[in-house]
Amino acid sequence: MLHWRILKYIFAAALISLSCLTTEARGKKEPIPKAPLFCGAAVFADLSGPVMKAVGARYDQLEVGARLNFRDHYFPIGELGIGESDREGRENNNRFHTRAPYFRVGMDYNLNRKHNGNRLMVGLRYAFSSFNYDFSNPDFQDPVWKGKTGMSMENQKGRTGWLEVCVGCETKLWKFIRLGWSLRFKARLHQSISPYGEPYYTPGFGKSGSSTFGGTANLIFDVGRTSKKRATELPIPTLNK
Amino acid sequence: MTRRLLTIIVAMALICACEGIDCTLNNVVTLNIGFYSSESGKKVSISDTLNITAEGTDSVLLNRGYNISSVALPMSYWQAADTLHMLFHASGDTDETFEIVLRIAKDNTQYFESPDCPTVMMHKITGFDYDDPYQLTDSIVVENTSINYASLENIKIYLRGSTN
Repeated sequence: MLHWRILKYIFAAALISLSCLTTEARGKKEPIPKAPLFCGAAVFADLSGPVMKAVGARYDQLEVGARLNFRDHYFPIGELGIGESDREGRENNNRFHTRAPYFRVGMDYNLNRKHNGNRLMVGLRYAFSSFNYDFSNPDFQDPVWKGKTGMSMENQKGRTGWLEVCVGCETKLWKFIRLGWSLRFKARLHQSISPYGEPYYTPGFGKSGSSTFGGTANLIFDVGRTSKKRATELPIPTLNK
Repeated sequence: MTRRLLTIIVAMALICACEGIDCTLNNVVTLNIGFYSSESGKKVSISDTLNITAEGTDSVLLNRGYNISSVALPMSYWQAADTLHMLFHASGDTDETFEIVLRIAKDNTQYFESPDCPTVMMHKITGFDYDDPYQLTDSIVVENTSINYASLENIKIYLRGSTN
């Protein structure tokens, strides 16, 4: 419930941003040059995954992606990653393990009408992961009847699809290198899991639950320069007095 | 506008930073048995002292239960069927003891929530039978076959001559 309320705020913020930027442009009546239809492409890698892995987080994901740039506003995007979790219980010997790929497709929209290299993005993604997960507990025992000790369930199958609403920004660092980050609200659309229990972690989605938040910190490389003047290099127009 | 957006982003980051252990609060799986009057059909408290034991273990599942209207009992993790002996010790000066034997066939399913939560065994009743040589009961029925976190009443025992 709280998540949906926050989601509403995100949508509201996106709409407000859009309307403000539009109003601002209308108010000043600046002639903003139109970017070429195809402004190139970019590949990127998420820096947060290696950091999570390095600090020994409960789960981590290594992710890369690619996107196209139309009019410096529309960015069809594809992301591919590998999510991993190898986790032991804090107060027991339960162990959960999974390692599997996931992918996302969707589109970002740049709210910044000025082609000055900075972008304020909102976006949507559909993401999917098909994965196996293991769960074991060597100390599992019937407290009354006793008997055999331990349980191990391997290769439990899971499939999850979810929607991501993204808000983020990015800026140009140097020539063709950009840095950006995004925050994401993830809502599960469908899931099939083992009857023996939910996966603790779903690759790409995060910890189990119907919704969660996530984020990325992307290092972006612009590639495939196809127009003579790139949108981000267009001169900023001056007002005629 | 920018300030509002920043506030939302910071709030989202803080929410992302929080992590708790979301284990189910009621994570005890028990077979729930209720006692009812065969005449009125209403729940009754038994006036005898009740002990419950099970085959395959020396543990007493219920020790000297008195004035109770329901019991919650553990089930075996690995056995295909549990046999429960319910011993009613008559109240007063008599030493009379009456016994009901319940045999419950079941499927056992291991279930995990999270590495931080206890792993449990859930059950589904697949067959049921009982012996009541002293004819204490009018009938015993399985009300709910699923033995899980839901804590629903699984078995109803309709006792004769219990009207309170």
